[in-house]
Amino acid sequence: MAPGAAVVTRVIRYALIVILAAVFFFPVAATITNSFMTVTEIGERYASGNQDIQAFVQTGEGENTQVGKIVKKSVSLIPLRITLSQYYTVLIEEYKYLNMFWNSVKLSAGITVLHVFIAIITAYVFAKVEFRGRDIIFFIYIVVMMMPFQVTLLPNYILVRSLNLLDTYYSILLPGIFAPFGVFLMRQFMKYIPDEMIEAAVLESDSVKDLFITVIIPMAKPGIIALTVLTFAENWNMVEQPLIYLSDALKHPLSLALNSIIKSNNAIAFAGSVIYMMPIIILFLYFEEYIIQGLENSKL
Amino acid sequence: MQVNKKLIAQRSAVIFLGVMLFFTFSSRTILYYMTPKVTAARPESGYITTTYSFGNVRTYSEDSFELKLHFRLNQGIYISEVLVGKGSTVREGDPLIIFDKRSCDDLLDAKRRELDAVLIELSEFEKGFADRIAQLENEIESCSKEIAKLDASIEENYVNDAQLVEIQHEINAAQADYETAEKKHGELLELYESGAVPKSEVDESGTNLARLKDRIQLAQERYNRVQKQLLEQGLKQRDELAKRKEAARSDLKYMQDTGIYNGKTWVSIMKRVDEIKGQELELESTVGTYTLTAPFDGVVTEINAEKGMMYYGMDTLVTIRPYDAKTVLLVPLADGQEEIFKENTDCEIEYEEEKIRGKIAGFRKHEGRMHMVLEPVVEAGAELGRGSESGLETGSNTRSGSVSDSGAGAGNGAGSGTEDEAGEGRSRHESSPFAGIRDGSYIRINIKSEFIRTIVPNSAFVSQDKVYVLKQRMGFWGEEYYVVERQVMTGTGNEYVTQITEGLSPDETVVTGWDRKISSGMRVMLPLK
Repeated sequence: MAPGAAVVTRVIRYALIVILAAVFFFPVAATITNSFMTVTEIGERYASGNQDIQAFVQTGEGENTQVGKIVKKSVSLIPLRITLSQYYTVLIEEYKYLNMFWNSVKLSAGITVLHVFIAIITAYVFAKVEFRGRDIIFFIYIVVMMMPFQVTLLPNYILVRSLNLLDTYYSILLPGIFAPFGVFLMRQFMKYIPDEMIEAAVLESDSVKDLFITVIIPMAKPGIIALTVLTFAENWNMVEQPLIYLSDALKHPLSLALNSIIKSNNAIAFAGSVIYMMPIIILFLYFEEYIIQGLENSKL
Repeated sequence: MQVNKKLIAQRSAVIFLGVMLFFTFSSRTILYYMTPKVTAARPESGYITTTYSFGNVRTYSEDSFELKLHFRLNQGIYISEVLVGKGSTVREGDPLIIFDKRSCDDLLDAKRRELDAVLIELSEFEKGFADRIAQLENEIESCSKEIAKLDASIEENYVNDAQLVEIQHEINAAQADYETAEKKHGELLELYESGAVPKSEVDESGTNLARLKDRIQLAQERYNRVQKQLLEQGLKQRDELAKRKEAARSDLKYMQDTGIYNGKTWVSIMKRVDEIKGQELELESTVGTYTLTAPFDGVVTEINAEKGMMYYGMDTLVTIRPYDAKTVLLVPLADGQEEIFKENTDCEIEYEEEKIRGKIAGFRKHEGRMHMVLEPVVEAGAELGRGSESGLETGSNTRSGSVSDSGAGAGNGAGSGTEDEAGEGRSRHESSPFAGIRDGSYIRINIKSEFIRTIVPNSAFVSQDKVYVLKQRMGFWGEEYYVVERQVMTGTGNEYVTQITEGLSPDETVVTGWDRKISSGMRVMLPLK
């Protein structure tokens, strides 16, 4: 390839990357900047319906003189007046949102920790322990994983109800802990841990705990971190499970509240969204290399 | 780069968690300090006493009699003495004002002369009117005759007119000459044919005959011309006469119908005669005796005369109120203010330090301005009686004395008897609750409303028609209060409370005070007492 053509290709590639990055970053940036807007400005910009347009048409002299309010009703990155009123409402005035944030933390962290623990052990069994029917059981795991969430929702609900766990955190925690995806991911990861290393470790110590601490976990660290982040993110965003299993609004996570805030009170939706996405962004920033490495090593 | 990203993530995590934890533990405390504190109260029911202030009030009696001359005088009467003052008690026939004798006589003489002049004017009018009627009738008659004469002439084409007759005679003479000449010409022709006469004679005769024929023709033409002129003149004259006759007839009818002659009528002159006679009688009965006397027993409520003053009529000299007359208070109202007040509403009138019970008797226009009429409400047992023989009636109004004093002071120069009567009048005058209120004074009227179901303090109003209603809801920490702006319709009110007629029910709670600005939907607390 000629040097000139290479430069042009590179320029086009970078331009495409910049455009895509801008497109993907725009909603995040808009959410953050709009969280500093006044309630009035948000009401004017994002009011539902086309009342402003109608009002304009009634007062305008011609059909095509659409200026004024129609311009206002658009997304803007720069607030007309910067205020912390949305944060005041979310963090101070409406304590329920803080409560929901901690509910989200409790549920997501609890499910993540337990799920990762279960997934590591189960995945090791499926990857390294030979026993009769292993592949069939794992196949069932895969089938369950491939099923849409809605398919297992009803059996899960019946089970939870029969266990008298409705309206308790266990109704969310238990199905989450035993989700098949983590097992599948970790099995894929552990499959590529050399058996010799495991045998060597077994020779060193008969303890399973030592085996995991000295060999399995260090070797599967990128996978564990990737699984941790992915599980946390998945459970941080859950809406259907709390909506179905938890009737007590005080137990609802922030993801569910945010869903209703956007519908009923969009004045604080941006601040709520910023708080809501912060943990995920921080986790991703911190564990970015592990996530990439883990997903690569799992050969998914 | 990776390290930096991790570091940023770490620090962000610490800050984020720190912020979340901080607000988790302190938001309730912060909220306590940030939440507006309000006071609230439930609407009360009861009565609202509204106080209205009015200036320039005056007392007025329905049965008061105003002594005055009811017409304007060309020359004034000099007032020699004023024997009574405001508040003086008088009896029927008591002298009130003494006029100067000379000016009264002059005035009477002038009035009599004025009457004589009008009577002369009346007789002149009567004579002139009759003469004019006769004149018009004569004119109509003569016009009719002339028209008839002209009509006859026109009908016979003026053939008997002297001019036409003369011309006709000329024509007849010329025709006779022509016939003679024609006969002679025939004879000459015969002679010429026989050769008796030369042809020149025949020609001469023929020429003469033609001349005579022309003469007849000219005379006939003149006759026709003159006749035509006469006809035209006759028709023109007839038209003019017809117009004159019609004008005279019209004038006659107008005069007969309206009675107007020279811009006057008999009725108008007679009216002036009666008016002047009435004025003369009025003058004779008042200034004729040089003294203005009281027409009945009563109290002098107003006197506008003083010694040395010239009086020119029309203005009230003295107002006398009968003893038992009802005195009301006239309160001047601003435009549209009468709509605020209702008739027959009880009220309390505050004048200086005194409080008088009264009621709104109605509204009336007085001197071009709407006034509210207030009547006193007399307590049972304190009913005012008609003036007794002694004329003494004790009252509780102590301020009346000062008014009477000033009234007595106005009657300077009165005799001792008059002073005594004035003193008696003071006692009588004191019997009216309004008697002590000086004209032009400032009063306050307290009006108690009807029973009102919803009364809120004025401090509850955010604007003229908006209040904040306190609502309760279940918050995270339990029951919490918030405010909702409510548009209401207000009724009566005073400086403390206002009636709510619509928009608020008695079981709701309104916010009556706040320590900082609040808005609709805002969460509030109730520690303010």
